[in-house]
Amino acid sequence: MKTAIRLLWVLFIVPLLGGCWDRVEMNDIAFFMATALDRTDKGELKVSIQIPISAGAGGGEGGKTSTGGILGKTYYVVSSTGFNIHDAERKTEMKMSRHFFKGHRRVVIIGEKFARSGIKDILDYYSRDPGSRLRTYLIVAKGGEAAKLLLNDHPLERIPTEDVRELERSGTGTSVTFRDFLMTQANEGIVPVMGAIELLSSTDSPEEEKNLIQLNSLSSTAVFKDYRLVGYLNETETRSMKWINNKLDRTIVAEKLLRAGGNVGAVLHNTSSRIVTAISAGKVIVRIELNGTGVLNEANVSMDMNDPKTVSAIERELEEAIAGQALRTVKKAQAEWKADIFGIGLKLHRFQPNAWKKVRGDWDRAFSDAEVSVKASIKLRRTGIVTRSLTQDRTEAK
Amino acid sequence: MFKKLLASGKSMSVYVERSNPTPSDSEQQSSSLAELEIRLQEIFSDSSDVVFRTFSIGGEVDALLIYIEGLVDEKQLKETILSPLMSSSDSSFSTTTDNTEFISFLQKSLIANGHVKRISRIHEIEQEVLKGLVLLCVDGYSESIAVSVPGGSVRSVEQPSTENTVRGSRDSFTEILSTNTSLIRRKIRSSRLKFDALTVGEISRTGMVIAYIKGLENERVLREIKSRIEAMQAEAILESGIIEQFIEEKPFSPFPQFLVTERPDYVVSALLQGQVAILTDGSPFVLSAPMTFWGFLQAGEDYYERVVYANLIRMVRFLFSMIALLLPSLYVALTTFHQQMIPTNLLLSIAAAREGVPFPALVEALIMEVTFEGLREAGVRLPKQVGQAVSIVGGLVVGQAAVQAGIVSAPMVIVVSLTGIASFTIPRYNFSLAFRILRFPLILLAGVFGLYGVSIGLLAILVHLCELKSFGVPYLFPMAPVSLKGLKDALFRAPIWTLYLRPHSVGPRSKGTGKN
Repeated sequence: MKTAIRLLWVLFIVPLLGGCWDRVEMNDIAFFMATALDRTDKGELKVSIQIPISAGAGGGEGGKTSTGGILGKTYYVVSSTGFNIHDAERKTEMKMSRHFFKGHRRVVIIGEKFARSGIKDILDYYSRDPGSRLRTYLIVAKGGEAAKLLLNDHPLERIPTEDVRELERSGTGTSVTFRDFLMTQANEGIVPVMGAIELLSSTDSPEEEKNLIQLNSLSSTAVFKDYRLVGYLNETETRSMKWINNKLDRTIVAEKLLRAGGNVGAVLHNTSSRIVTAISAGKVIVRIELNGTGVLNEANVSMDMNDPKTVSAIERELEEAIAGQALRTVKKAQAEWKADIFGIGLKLHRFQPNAWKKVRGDWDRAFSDAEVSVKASIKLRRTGIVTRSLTQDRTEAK
Repeated sequence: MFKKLLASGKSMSVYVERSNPTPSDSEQQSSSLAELEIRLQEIFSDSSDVVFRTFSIGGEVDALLIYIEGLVDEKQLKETILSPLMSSSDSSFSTTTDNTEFISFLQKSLIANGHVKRISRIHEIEQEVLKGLVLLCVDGYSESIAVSVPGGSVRSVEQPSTENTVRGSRDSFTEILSTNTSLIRRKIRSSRLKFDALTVGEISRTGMVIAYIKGLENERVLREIKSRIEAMQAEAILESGIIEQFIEEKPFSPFPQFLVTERPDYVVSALLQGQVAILTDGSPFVLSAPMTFWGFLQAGEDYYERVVYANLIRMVRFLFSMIALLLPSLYVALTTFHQQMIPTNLLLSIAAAREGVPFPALVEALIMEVTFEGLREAGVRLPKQVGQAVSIVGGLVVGQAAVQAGIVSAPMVIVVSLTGIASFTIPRYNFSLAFRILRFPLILLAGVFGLYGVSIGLLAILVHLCELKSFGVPYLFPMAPVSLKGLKDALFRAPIWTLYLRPHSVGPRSKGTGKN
């Protein structure tokens, strides 16, 4: 019995041996919701952190105990500058009474200026720090300062960057996390990209901008080469890139059709792509096939939708438009940046390893010289519940 | 003629003054009624409830009735004993001349009652009177007749008050042993159902019955229970719970090792599974052993309802028993150690609610849990008339006002009340006590070590459960040790027609259905 008690004491001591005591009350934690990284004019790193004001941000109490904080806000932003992230964080710590908690940070926004100067250093920090999640989304603030995005109130979300996270998750734009970025960066034959966000007026009328709500718009894609931002793809190009990379699930296509004389809108599901690569006489030949099946939802054309030929005609025109967009996107990447954002080199590496060895040494040049052809194939399964277009004249149909 | 007859039977022994009125086991009854009466008056001195009623049989032979007021039905006593004896004529027993024959003549011909036995020792007289029998002593004979005329006020068979089921029989045990055995017998009309009677308690002399079904019972368990009961040294057994404490194997384990029920159908089901039941006079709660962990989580409806619904309900019960054990400790661990494990929006809500709370989550949890236990205890104790008031004060005032005042956070109130509700889904009250107790060390571990502490606590509980045995049957059977046959009725219940094989841990010998 005595030895049993002694053993019991030993057992009680064992858990303490870890020496690890990380108990923190929730009231003593500052949750990082988003971080913005900017390069100041002096060349220093400016780290801004968005922190929810718990009393206002949780909102569960129906306003009884939560007055929304003294500021009447649900969040605040703390910024500090330093030569690296830790230097800035050290300075932030002096301003903050609470423990840092990065486990819930979902968005890191990089200012354009900083992105253009190279982001290699911060990648090291985020991949090394156990408190940061690799699933944090990485975004470029297009044409401006990242910290500004943190300060922009959102009409619906209590924490403004929550909206950025939702946009990233919705799948309409480019969504790239630290993990994705680092994995792409580590691969040969592909160049990493990330989503780019800009503040736009909610009503698209810039002259009234002062009074209006500004919204984040995940419209573009930032292309990175050697950890530096080299340029952007616009929204159509972004879609083309995602389609070619087989990352598009569903998209809305709206095109003007010259031959049909009007415009149509369709929702495409089951979009997919196929890339076939080959090397002929030292030149890389790339054939891209884009497929999509969808529903015609908007048809402002004077045609009889009951006629299968009409649908095929619309399909043909849509195919041309989409293939054209895709080709222009590839050409832009080839000509402007010599950056293989589509992973064509990766494909070549996987399917023609011997050919890859020849072009590997100077893949950027080989990519920019590659001969690319795009073929699209669109199937419209349904044309909606009206047979004839409303704009179509009755007599004309007969 | 009567006098002659009586004189021949008179004993010559002389009454001797004794300092100790308690009779020895072998002391014989005096045949002189006067001496006997003095002796018995001495034994029952200062006992105002013991009635000595002298009368004469047929107007000639003196006789004495001794009984305890309130334990005897006076009306029946008059009808079955007093009237036939007093009115019997001289001629009806003229032929009986012998000592014992007269007594047996009385027994056979005059006492119109079913339950009659003859005794001759003072010690036995004392015991039978105390049991509530009527004792008839006749002048000149050294034998008495004990007649059972049970009466007095007893609680009738009512609906069970602590174990409710939607479906199933509605009777429950009472305080009267014979009623309780009859309730079981009504459900098993088999001579294989045995009721083994014992008397325990040096002063209380409480009657007990060990019930089992011959051929199904685990003999080792039966032997063990009997020997442990016989080895008990108790002055009084007021409740079956006292027996339970005397004979259970691990008195310091938080987990009970006996089924405690007031429902006859549960006892019958347990008997059919080969268990041994212990009925105690004066207690409506019947004990049954050996029990396993899973048995405590089963309710009657698990078998009475159709298989799909029964399994659904059983799943809900398992889930909620886990909630009852773990929810507060998980909440404390997650909010103080592992904030990254809570979804962001939920985290913000909890953080907002916790913002003004002055206590750490651990202290908050302990305050609320202790308050809840206090409320529950108050609820059991309080007089029915003030029940409403306490539930309003407890539920509304303490709960809502504490949140509004910012002393505790609303999520914590939710956690504690959910835990409280969950602990009531455990069908066996004594088993839910184990979960209530174990919650507290787990909260402490969670507050000190986080999920690591909770895991250590759970491991410790698991180790204890693996080691625990109820009369030789592993507590976690059929999970540890694994028995594929037993698994048909552990986490899930297989359809009723597949359950015809008894789990061999309990009733090793017989096939046949354990459930009804």
